[in-house]
Amino acid sequence: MNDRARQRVFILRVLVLSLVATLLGRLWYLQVLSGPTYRAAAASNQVRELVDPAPRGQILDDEGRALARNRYEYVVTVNNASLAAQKDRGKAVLRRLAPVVGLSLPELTQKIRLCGPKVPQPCYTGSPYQPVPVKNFDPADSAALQRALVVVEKSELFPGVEIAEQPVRIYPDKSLASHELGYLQPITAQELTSPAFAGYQPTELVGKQGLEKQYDRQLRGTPAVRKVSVNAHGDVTGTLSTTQPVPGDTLVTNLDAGLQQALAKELVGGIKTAQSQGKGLLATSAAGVVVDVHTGAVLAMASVPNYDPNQFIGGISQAQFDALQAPEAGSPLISRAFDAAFPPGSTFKGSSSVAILANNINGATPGTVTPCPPSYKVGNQDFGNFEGESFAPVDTATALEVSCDTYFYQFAYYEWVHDGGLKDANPLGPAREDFARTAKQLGYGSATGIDLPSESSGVVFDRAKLYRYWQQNKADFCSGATKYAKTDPQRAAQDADACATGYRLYAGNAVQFAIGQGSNILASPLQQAMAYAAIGNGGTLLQPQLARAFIKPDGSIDRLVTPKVRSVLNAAQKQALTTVREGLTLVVQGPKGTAKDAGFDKQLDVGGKTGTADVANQGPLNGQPDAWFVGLQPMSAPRYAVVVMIEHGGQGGIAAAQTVANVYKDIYGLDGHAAVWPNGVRPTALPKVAANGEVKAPQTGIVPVTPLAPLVGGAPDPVAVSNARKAIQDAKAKAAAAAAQQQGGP
Amino acid sequence: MTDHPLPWGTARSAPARRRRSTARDVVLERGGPVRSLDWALQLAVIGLAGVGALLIYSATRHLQTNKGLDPAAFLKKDILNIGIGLVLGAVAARVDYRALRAYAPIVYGASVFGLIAVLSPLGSTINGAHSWIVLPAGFQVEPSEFAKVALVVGMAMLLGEKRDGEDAPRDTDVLLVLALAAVPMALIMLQPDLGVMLVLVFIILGAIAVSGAPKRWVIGLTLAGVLFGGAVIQFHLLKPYQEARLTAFANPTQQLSSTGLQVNQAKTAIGAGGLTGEGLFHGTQTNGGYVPEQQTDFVYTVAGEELGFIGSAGILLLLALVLWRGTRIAAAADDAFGMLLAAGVVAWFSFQSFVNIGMTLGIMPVTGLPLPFVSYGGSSMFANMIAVGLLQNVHVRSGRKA
Repeated sequence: MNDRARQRVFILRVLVLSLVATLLGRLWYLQVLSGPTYRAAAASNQVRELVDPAPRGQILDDEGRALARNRYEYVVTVNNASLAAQKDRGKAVLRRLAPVVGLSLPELTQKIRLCGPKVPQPCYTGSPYQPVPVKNFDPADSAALQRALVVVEKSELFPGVEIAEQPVRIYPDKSLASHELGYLQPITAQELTSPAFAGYQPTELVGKQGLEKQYDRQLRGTPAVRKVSVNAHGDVTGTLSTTQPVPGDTLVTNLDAGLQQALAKELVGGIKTAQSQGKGLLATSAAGVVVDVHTGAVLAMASVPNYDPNQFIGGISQAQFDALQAPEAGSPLISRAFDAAFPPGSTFKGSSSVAILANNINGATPGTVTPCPPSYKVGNQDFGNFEGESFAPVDTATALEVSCDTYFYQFAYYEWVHDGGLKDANPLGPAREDFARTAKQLGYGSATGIDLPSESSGVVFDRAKLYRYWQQNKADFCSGATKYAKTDPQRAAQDADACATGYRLYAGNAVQFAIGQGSNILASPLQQAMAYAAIGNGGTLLQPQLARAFIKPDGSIDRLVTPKVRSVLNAAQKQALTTVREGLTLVVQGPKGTAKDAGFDKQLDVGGKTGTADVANQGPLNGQPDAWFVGLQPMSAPRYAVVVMIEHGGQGGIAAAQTVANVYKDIYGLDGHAAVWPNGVRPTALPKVAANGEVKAPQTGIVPVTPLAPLVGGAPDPVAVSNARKAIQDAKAKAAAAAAQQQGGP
Repeated sequence: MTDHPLPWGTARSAPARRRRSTARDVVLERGGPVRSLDWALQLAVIGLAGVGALLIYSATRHLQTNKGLDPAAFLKKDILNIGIGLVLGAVAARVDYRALRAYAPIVYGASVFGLIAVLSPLGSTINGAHSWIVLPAGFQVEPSEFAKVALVVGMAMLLGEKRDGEDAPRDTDVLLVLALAAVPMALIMLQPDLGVMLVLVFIILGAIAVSGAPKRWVIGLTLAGVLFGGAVIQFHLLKPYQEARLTAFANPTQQLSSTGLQVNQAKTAIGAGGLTGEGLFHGTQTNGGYVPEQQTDFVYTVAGEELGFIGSAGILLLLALVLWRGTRIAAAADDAFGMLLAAGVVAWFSFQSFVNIGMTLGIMPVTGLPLPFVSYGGSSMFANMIAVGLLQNVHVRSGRKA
């Protein structure tokens, strides 16, 4: 032994002690100082939330017929955590499963892989602990379901694979009210992070359009949440807590499936009528709205072309979605009834008549007669009547009956001059803007507030709006004047003009506005319906409503939607409405009415206004005006307003008016049309919804129309589903018996 | 469960001097072999092994139950391992260590043979390391564990040789030592078993340092080790999974690597234990099986979670006591061979304990080293117990002129 060695043994001791001290320090840090953090991490290690969506509330029509309901399907699911715990990471199970669910192995593998930053679609967006649905089976297709039951019968060959009952949304009448109902799609990553979707799970389907979107929270209900403890292999070791699912509310709408179907049918007929006039009319699309003028209830609203929201169930392919958006398809995803605006043409004369009479423009009263020449000169430009017609001097009602443009030009020009004409002063000041102001009071140019996620607000371009627009864009105009001086002198001149006097309202634009033409006025059919509802009900502008009531899962009423008043016209305007209604009556019933030959049933006392709105002065769409008809009925005490617009449908008095005439016949069941409501009386009672989702039609004491869909809305097809349930139970029993036998054997 | 035919593991006759002592003498005689044992050391070792058995039981009983197997199977096997280990240790303690010198070449040769056997078709791969020999009836041996013992004995013999009145090993002795150590190390590198490799490096370094060899060797070898380590990382000489394991501790949140997950789960389990722990058999992480390899390399996490800071620090202090007694035995040894034997064992245990616990605490890389006396595993338990036997051997024969 040497001293050097002993010295080094001492060093070894010091070394050992310092190592022990290091470990002790680290141990203290981890356990005592960071203990709470790790305890929390440990807790989240063991608890997983499994979320099962609640049955989505049905959407019913006013008689309890299901517009959207749920059907039971049987879904084969794969549990990723369970696969991962298997020796071969579940490869053998997937190989066996692929033929059972009719997918190739790569397809199946892609379907169940978890989405991540580097994982392209297709992939699963849910949590690793949520079973991934791979294939749905219709209970009615018992042969296919029977084949799938092998995963239950031979469960030892399919660890991690299960078969479960799952509600699936269906729209039983296919494209009926597709724009209003909307459709469901998986929630996007962006939506998940937004506060509007707080509490939603990555696997959920959410409404992307229509009522499904508007009332998603109410329809969705509260999903069932199971908090389970899991071990490191992802095996569930116990259930910590369970909350029961609360099914969504049933939404009873104001829509009537029968009327909706009639309207859609008549719109298709209207398009055909327009096209068969021999004028080469395109009649590319049509839209219609039926509202109750006293409540604002939307009884039917349709737009063709439309789409089948069932396409979106189970995921729509990009190709299918692109096809729906293609212009050749006529943009079926867009509703022309509430989500697009068109020049209203002469249907806007209802508003202009109120403006003339209520403001006594140029001293006008209901009895004042004014010439109706073939044309009227504004400045150096002639503005003519439709097809150069002329009539003996007319009062307001007659001007509406014959749709005399020059009558309205005179008052519009007078008003324009009184507002200052082209004057350079700030037009935000004293200008009265009677025509534009009245239009806005009747709801033109602003959103109707219908309970849908999107709608068109239309356009009302008045002096004030022009001035604001000019202020916002003045800098651009002024710089354009110099910028294009050399390259595009015409553009430079235009910009210089706009830079200096772009706020000016020209007389030509002002007079065209009064007859609903030009670019300063655009309206959606729904806006027109609400404006005419106000004319019909005596001056109350209502908010259109699709929802009528929300019914809780136990059948009690959660919320009744009451009519909402947007604004009320003043006394002078209300008084003017009497004259306007007289005019509307003459349009249909008068000797010179523009719609007198449209086939309106005499008993129904219909009134209305035609509209033929030019869309272009040149190009392919020149001579392809949009056809409008806005109807009120009965004129003695208006109840239903019906609006039909046929894009490029020609003269309003022909195709559009005939379509409206047919819709009224449908409502009342006249001239061989099946009645939507006997005697045209809409049932006032709500349909009753039982706790099991069964729906009873309201007791009206009248014979119901032929139902479009089974009146039992929410309850699944009982035979097929009970068969499927029994088959699954049998398979489970068989598997259990086989397992017991095996254990009892040698 | 005798799993290795070591020449000194069989009951060879003790030196003549002891031949006539009766069993009564052995137990009671003052200065007799039992009374003169280092009991603090021995009790600490038995305490560690006993706690280890409980921790192993806690870590395995649920998994065993889930598989429909005997929940106490690991506990029973561990207790058997401890028993066999204590017998082997007693044998190692009883043979006079000075006579052991004569067997050193045989021990060395046997261990090299064992390591070659592993690389032959007899060997099999478990957890990525080709370091096992599977015997019939479900037994398996890990020869590299015994190579640690062989290296300790071999180093002690070569460096403790007294020549020409020289006090310290000469350069040629050191070179010879390095040459002889290179053979088992190369064989282990082929398996590859990085953890054992590093333990051997530390045994050699420790033995050379303590032997009194010139400082330049100590410093030179340390530097060489560091440079080699750097080169290995720099030029990616390791297999990707090895590199991932080594570097995972520095980047444990990288959950994609299973090792990173393992380190995270280990830290979570230990951290969740807090000051007093969740109670033996009540650790939720342990019961849920969240920490992989929990009964072997990560057994300390069971202590961390269930026994808390108090319990796991207690284990650490028991280990410290073992090491402290080891250095005491080294310092008190009569000759260089005895001192180097003890120092080699201390270097081995201290490095292995530090790396193992450090790994579960996330401050050392995951290298697959078991915690001495505590982790489950027969070969490791036997080798550790034999090493303790060697410490007792040196202790019993110190300070007495025979």
